[in-house]
Order: sequence, then C-alpha cells, then structure tokens
Amino acid sequence: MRLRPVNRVIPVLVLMALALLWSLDFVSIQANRIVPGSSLGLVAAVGMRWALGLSGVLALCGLLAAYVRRPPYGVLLALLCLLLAQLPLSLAWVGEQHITAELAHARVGIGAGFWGLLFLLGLLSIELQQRVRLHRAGLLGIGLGLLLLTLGVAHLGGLEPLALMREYQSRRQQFSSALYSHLGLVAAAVGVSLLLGAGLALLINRFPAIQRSCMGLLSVIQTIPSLALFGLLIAPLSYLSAQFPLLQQFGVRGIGWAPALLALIAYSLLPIVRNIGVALQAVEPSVIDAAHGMGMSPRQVFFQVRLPLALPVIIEGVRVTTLQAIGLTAVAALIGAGGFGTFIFQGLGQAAMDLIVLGALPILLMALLADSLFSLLAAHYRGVPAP
Amino acid sequence: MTASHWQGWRWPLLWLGLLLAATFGLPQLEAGFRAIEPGARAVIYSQASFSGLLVKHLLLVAAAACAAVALGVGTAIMVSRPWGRDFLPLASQVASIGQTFPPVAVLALAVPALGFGVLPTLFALVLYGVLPILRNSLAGLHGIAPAVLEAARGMGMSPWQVLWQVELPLASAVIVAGSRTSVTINIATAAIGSTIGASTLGDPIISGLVNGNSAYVVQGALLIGLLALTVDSLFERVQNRLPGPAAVALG
Amino acid sequence: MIELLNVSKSFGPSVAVDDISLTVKAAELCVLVGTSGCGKSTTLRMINRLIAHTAGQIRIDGQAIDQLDPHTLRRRIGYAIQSIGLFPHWTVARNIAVVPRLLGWPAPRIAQRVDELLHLLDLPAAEFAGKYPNQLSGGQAQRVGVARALAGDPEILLMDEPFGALDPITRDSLQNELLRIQAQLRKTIVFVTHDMDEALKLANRIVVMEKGRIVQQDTPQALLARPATAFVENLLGGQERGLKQAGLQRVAALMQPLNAPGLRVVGPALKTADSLRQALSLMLWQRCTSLPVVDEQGVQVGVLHVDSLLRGAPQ
Repeated sequence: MRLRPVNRVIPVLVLMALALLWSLDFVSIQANRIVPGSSLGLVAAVGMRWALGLSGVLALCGLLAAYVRRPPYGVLLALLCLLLAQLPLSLAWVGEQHITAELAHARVGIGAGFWGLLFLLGLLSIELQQRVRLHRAGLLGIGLGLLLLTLGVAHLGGLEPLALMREYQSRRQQFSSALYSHLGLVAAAVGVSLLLGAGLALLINRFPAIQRSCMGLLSVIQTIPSLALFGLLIAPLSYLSAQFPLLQQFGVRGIGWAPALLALIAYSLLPIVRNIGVALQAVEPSVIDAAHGMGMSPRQVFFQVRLPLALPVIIEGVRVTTLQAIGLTAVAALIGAGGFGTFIFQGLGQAAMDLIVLGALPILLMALLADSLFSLLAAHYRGVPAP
Repeated sequence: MTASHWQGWRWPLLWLGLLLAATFGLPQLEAGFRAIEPGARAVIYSQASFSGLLVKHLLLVAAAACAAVALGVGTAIMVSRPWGRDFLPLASQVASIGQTFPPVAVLALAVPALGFGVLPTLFALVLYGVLPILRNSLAGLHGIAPAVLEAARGMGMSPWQVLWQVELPLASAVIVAGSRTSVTINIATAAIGSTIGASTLGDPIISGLVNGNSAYVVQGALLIGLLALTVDSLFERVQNRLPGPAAVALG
Repeated sequence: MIELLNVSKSFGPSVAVDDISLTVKAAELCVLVGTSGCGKSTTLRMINRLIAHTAGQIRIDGQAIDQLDPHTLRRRIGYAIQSIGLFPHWTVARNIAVVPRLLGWPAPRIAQRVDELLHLLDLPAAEFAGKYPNQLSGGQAQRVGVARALAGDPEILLMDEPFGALDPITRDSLQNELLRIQAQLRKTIVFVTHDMDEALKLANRIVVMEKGRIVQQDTPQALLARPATAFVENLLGGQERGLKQAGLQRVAALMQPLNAPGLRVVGPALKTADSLRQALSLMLWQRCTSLPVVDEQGVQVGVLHVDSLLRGAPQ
C-alpha cells in the first residue's frame, strides 16, 4: 500500500458517485400523475442490502484503481458493466417493492441520485475506455448492451411502474410517429444538403471567384438562431401556399415540415460544403501529380485517389450535419414539424417532467448513436494507421 | 485612426445599427405588420418592450458566457498542468462527447432538475457553453510548440509567468474562437429558454406561435437574428486582431 | 530511344523551354542538370505529356508522342518524383501495383511483380508489403517510389529529383542502388537534378540547362575537361573541379600493378574500385606519397604513387 494513488481519476469519480448516491433522492413515488411525489433516498428505495452492495462494488473500483500498482483495468471494466447492468434492474426492484396492486396509478419517478450515478458511470466508462485502449466500437457495444437490457426488462414488464413508461404507454402511437418524423426530417435534410452541397462545392471548385460570397452567405445563415430562422420562414411559406394551391396539396404550409426542412437544409449546407471543399483541396498535389504520371485517367484519379482520400473528412462533415439536424429538428417541433421535440414542449407546457424526459432521452440516444456510427465509418475509411 | 482600421468595424456597426433601429423602430411599423396578420387584434408584441427583452437576453447570454469561459479555460489550464494531467484524457473526451448532445435537449433536461425560470436556463447555457470553450482551450494550450515553452522556461520564467505571458496569449485566438461558437449557440438556446420561463427575445416568437400571430414571430425572429449577427461580427473583429493559428503552429 | 526535336514550351508570354533538341539513347542514363527554374523539370514532364509542348516534336522509339493516348503513354513510362507522391490510403504493395493494375495484369502476375520489386529494392516483403506510406522512413518511401516507377516494366524511366529530400547518407546509398539496378535492368532513364555531384556520379551523359536552353551536353569526363561556358564551370564547382574529376576515375587506372601476387595488407590501403579522390584524401590524411592497392579479398595487387595522380598516368 502506498499513499499516493496510482490512478487519481477513478477514485475521484467513485467518491463523487458515492456522495451523489447517498445524498440525493434515488427515486420518487407519486400516487398519480398530478400530485407531487414523495422522495426516497437510496436505502429507502432499494433496501440496505442492495445499497451496500452497490456502494461496495463502487468503492472496490476506486480502491483497485488507486492502490494496486498496475490497476487491473480489465477487471474494472467488468465491474463497471455490472454496475451499469444493475441500473435498470434496480428500477424494476424499486417498482416491485413500493408499488402495490391497490395503487393502480402510482408511479416511480427517477431521481437525481439515479441520474447522477448514470452520468458518473458514463464518465468512468470513458476513462476506462482510454485506459484499456478499448476501440470506440467497444464503448458503443457496451452502450447498446445496456440499452438492450433496459428494453428487455421493460418488455418483460419490469419497468411498468416507471412514470416514464406510463407516459410512453399512454402515447405509443405518437411515440412511433415522432420517431419516424424525426428520423425522416433528419435524413431528408442531410440527404438533400449532401446532394446540393456536393454540387455547390464542385461549382466553387470550378469558379473560385464565388467562394467568398457563397461561404459568407452560408455562415451568416449558420449564425442565425434556429428559432428565428424557423419563424422567419413561416410568413413567406404561408403566403406561397395561399397563392399556389398545388403547394398546399403537397402539404407545404407556413408551419409544419416545409419550413423545418428548408431551414434544416440551409443550416446543413455550411458544414457539408466546407468539408467537401477542404477535403478535396487537402489532397497533396504531389500525390495527384504522381497519379497522373502513372497514367491514370482523370476519372481514375478522382475515384481512386482524390475521393478515397477525401472521404473521411466528408463523412466528418456528414456527422456534424446529422448531429446538428437532430437537435434542430427538436426545435422544429415548435413550428409543428413533429418529432421528439413535440413531447419536450408538451411536457414543458403541462409541467410534466417525465414527458420532457420521454422526448429528450431518445434525442440524446439518437445523437450518441449517430456520432458513434459516423465516427466509426470515418475511421474505417481512413484505414491508415497512425504513424 | 486610419481608414483600414474603420473597415474592420463596418459589419459590426452595420448590424448593431440595424439591431437598435429594429428594437426601437419595430413598433412604428404597425401598418406593415398589419399586412401579415390582417385579422389579428394586435400586430405589435406589447407584453414587454423589445429593448427590455434585448437587455434580458444579452444579460443572460453574457452571464453564461462569463461563467463558461471561467470554467472552461480554468479546467483546461488545470488539466494541462503536471499535477492535473491525469484528468486530461477524461476532460478532452467529455468536451467532445458532450458536444454531440443537442443544446435543446440539455435545456429541456434542466427543467426536471431545477424547475422553470431563469436559473435552469442559465444552468443549461453554462453547462453546454463550457464544452466548445474547454475543447478549444485544450487544443490551443496543446498546440503550442514545445520549443517555445522550453525557451520560456530556459529564460527563467516561473510556471505562472509561462502561463500568463506565453501560453495564454498564444492560445488566445483559439480560445476566442471557442467562445464565439459557445456564444452563438447560447444566443439561440436562450431564445428557446422562453419555453421554460426565462424572459428573452424568444418570447414574441413563442407567443406568436401559440396564438397563431405571425407578426409577433417575425418581430422576435428579426431581433434575434440581428443580435446574433451583431455579436458574431464583433467576435470576428476581435479574432482578426489576435495572433492567428499560424502563430501558434510556428511558435 | 527518346528524341526531342526543337522543342519549346511557353506559359503565356514566358518561355520555359526554348528550342531544345536532345536524343537519349536506349539504356542510357541521361541527367538534366541546372539551377531551379531552368526548365529541366518542364522538359521531363513534357516527355510523358504531363505538360504539353508548344512547338517541336517529341518522339519515343520513333513515334511522335502526340499521336499516342496520354494515359497509355504514361503507363509505358516509369515516373518517380521528389516528394514521392505515394498514395497514403494504400499499402506499399498496393502502391507498387498501381501501374500493373492500370495495365490490367492478372492478379498472380501483379503479386509476383510486387515481390520481385520489393526484393530488388531491398525491402523485405514480409515486413514492408502491408505497411502504409506514413509508417516508412524517407529513404524507404523513396525506394517504394522507385519500385512503383519500375512496376510496369517500362522501357523508360523519368525521375524528377527523386533523392532531393533525403539526407546525404541515404541519398548516397540510393544513388548506388540506382546504379546497381541500372546495370541489371538497362532502362532508358532521364534524371533531373540540381546537384552536379549527383549528375557526375550517375550519368552516362549530362545535359546542362540554363534559362530554358541546353548549354552543353557531354559525358561527365568531357564536361569536366571542357566546360563550354562560365556557367557550366561554376556549376562544376570552379576550383574544386580537379577533385570532382578525380572522383570519376578509379584507382585501378593509375596504379602500378605488382608483378607477383602480394601479401594481405594490414593498415590503410586503397581498393581498386576506389576513386582517385578517395585515394588523394587518404594520402593527405596519412601524410604519405604512396599507398598499397588491394583487391576485393584484401590481397595487394598494386601501388599508387602521388606522382601518378598528379600526372594522370601510371608511373
């Protein structure tokens, strides 16, 4: 045993997790949707044995990291997976303990202690991923595993008493239509702006004189807050749709998906055009010279050399654009474009906290998933190992 | 002052002029807005003055920016000192993963945690605004050529002198760029803060959307857009006067 | 055989190459040398039509190059450049295979060719075939560049300052490598450099260019003996010309052979293949007027006197 800890990050995170866990409410129990609930601490919520077991495993992680000369990071990662896996189970356990048959409308709200634990476990997994040099795909795998476990427990009915689940149960239909409209808007915006952006980038490549004004205009658009741009599009679009009944037939109106999609495309163009431009120009001239010198045709130079070398940067542009579009689509719910933002703003309007979470959580998950997928894709196409 | 000096101020002054003109002049344009909403009872948003909303919006963003700069730059400095280096990988990962979360989701989640009003809005703005600043500060401090730091130490500077006289000035351009991103996002997010009870320039838009009054929406949107462009062009002006990234790379 | 007949190239009003005529015979290593901007690279790049000439005619094996499809032409000509231009997204093996693939060779033949070239350039296939360009040292990358230029088994090789960015020791060893490969493969090579020492070491024939024109073309020996202009003399190093000339001659030419086979020599000795420049340096260093000369096995075969060095004939 030595006094100076070997790894200081993990013990600090563990101490913070323990402090949050024991000081904040783990869950709250409400008799129905309206009345304020009563808060339960960790012990009251899951019982002494569970509380001590959980804290014990956490403390063990901290001690192993701090005081073993070569911390067994693999073991720590396994313990971390265990801690993550017990999260949905603990919620199911709380339901089992506290919601009885006669309290038909009673519901379990997730408390700050639980969220804090989830957050700190997330930080721990990031730290451990770097220590074990786990591939990013590994982290994604752990995340997906946790998600699947949670969905499995929910499917078996274990999470039925959760307020979040109750909110979901009462609007299943809306949930799936929100999912489709959110994904649809994001995909349409990214797809269209990828096509438009590629064309614009090639145009700028051909006529460099227009670069300054094009990029200037796009970055001015990027600066305008989303709420403002959505708002500014309402009046002209409703005017257009009043003038041209054909547009109205296609569902183009002042509010709804039309202004949302227009604004999303306008926002998406800048990162796409910038990344395509940078990517195509960043290829070293000597490589292109060599390719011509070897006797490649212009087509071959473009498809075998220029494009593959540019692809990772272009994918990075698509990643940024997709993340931005996921967030902006949430705001677009304010102008009636649908998507998960609808739940957020409904929840805010009704002061229904669980409804807000029901809207925000899928958005966070979509963002994380898109980020991981595009990062992995870019890494795959980069292919070249670090020198 | 030379002509070229004034050139740099052209855009900020133009946007600022338009912003002030709109703030005080919009109520004068009643006839114009009547054309957008012929049927509405009132066409000029009047629950609060535009200038009051502008000031509140600015104060909110400025307070969040100050806190975010202090937190972000402070954290970056701490984790780049020898005694805090253990936390460097975690901090840089959090800065980049955190930015994948949409700001509106962070804002929404502040409500269950802190309730409605200005405080949760401020909290969300700081929390989200820290990330770009932290990320850029780390990049800026990390991007300084080791030879420069070696030279500074070799000339007998103390660690604090190295930080204040060499590291921070050289990283300043990148840090300001991060602050610009942060503030741009926060002006937009603060507008959405209207939905959780903070009084900002988003109020006319939300009110217009709820009541189906496009004139309100246009008024709010114009003001927010002009505010964003004014602040952004000011940042650009400041950035142009700082040592560019080239200075950092070349040392 | 490459023939340039009254070839010119102008970029707008400025003339980069001005009415040059040049014949490079088969299996010849012809070095174009001159200061930067003298038109030597432009001349080289006109041969594979990376730059189109504006006047005159360029013929390869009697055929005018503007009659040929540029891509087909380039696939027939090896090309290696200073910054190497390896494709960073492909492995070493894939980089070498570019031209064979463009030529549509069957896969087994390509694989065999890649192995052959890696072996030729002293890059063990097991170690290097799967590496990416950013994992190579400068010298290794340039070897791959040369291998890639040779891959399609071209008759002609164009090399534009291929060793320019390397350190002196690596450059020297790659120059030796090139001479060894050339002795083996006997390609027609046009080589551009600004380094006269490199030109003297490699060339069968040196073409000195200045301001887009050819000022002199000759063998290295003749060039040293009779520089046509002050510019050429200056390029040859002025007062150091004597040493450079000595660098081109072998000890074997001036030594006095032993009548009977001698003994193994211990201590400082010259090899028959050493240059006279090395001999002079060793004499200066040892402060002596004659040195024993040994063969590959270290057995003495002759003696070199300083007088022979100065007179340029055996004593």
